[in-house]
Amino acid sequence: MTLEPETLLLLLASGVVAGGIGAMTGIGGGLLLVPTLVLGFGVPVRVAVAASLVAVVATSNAAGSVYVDRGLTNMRLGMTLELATTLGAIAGGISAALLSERFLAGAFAAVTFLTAGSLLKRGTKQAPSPVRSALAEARLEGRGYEERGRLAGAYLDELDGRMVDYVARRLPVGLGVSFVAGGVSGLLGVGGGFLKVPAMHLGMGVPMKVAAATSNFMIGVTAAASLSVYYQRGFLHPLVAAPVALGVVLGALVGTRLQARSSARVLMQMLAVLLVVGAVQMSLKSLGVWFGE
Amino acid sequence: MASSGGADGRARRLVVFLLRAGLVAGSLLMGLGLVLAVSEARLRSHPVALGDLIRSMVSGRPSGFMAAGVLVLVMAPLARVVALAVEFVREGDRRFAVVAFSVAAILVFGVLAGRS
Repeated sequence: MTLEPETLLLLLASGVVAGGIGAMTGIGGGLLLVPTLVLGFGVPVRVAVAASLVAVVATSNAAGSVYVDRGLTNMRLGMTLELATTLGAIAGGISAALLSERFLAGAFAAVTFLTAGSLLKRGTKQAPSPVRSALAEARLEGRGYEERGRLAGAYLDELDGRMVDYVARRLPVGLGVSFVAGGVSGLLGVGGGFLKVPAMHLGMGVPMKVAAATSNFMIGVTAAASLSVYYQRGFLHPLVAAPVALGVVLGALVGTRLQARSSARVLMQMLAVLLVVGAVQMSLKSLGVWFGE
Repeated sequence: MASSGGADGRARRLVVFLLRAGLVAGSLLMGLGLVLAVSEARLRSHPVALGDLIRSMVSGRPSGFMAAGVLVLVMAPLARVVALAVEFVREGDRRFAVVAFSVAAILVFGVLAGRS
């Protein structure tokens, strides 16, 4: 694959758009990046997935560090669930190397359809973007904490200024879903927060903010685990991955500032439409009827 | 036992430092590679082997700087796994030290299992 200088700048721009939308909506850019790279730039699916995983790591480093700094992340819970996500991610990465490009495109389309449907269903009830809230709240005083030796802690609820205690329960549920989330991440180049956050919140009784923060903390290591597989199999192309990851970092910075002036409902609907368009195109590619390349 | 400050605070500061340092250093290297790349007519996209990384950078190849940037970026979360494992040992939290070292072992397993 040969790249012109203009193509590199377009890759950077794609990362900026995906990172910006991701920061404004809380949905990771991977769901937008992979179809953009595959359908818009003719990048092979596995190379696109590897580039997206690098962008996931960049997002985790940026937003995850803010959450940790604020004491919202439960690092012990994150590390415990990483036992499952990393194993899943390695399995996903190895599976991706064995499966056909058309199968991967179809699987990606299915996950994207589900995410778009979930966004439309949630509508105006959508919680604030984790990235936005993390960056905005970083300026506030007060930190949460976690307890030694167990999966418990407390975080500061800004609404009423009190510390909220929590204990994570039903660890097997969290581990099971985390393994699946890691597998999806390694297979399709997405963060997998759409699986882990509900599992931690609804399944383990962890507060939503702590769940979102801990998920963000985990996605970097999870993505890195499958990236080692993609790298060794020759699917990690720096000329594709670096401009995209750089763009995602810049886009997240811009998106965080724009988000305060945007309507969450309109943003979610726009993202859902974009995801449906991408999912339809990826479905067509999986069926062998995409003529865009 | 709650640990809002002290050792817990040290672990948190260490993780924040590692993640941010990886992000900044990785972004700078990737940005430098991108600047070099846009000044060239056209480039062939290919993986860069670890063994060729230094040579590629010394000869001023954009892909070398970009690969180094990606590597630094990806190493940051891996470094925080090891750092947290050590911190948990220092704190006397043996249970989670074992968990953290197990995650590190799985990551090493992933490197070995990923070989084609």
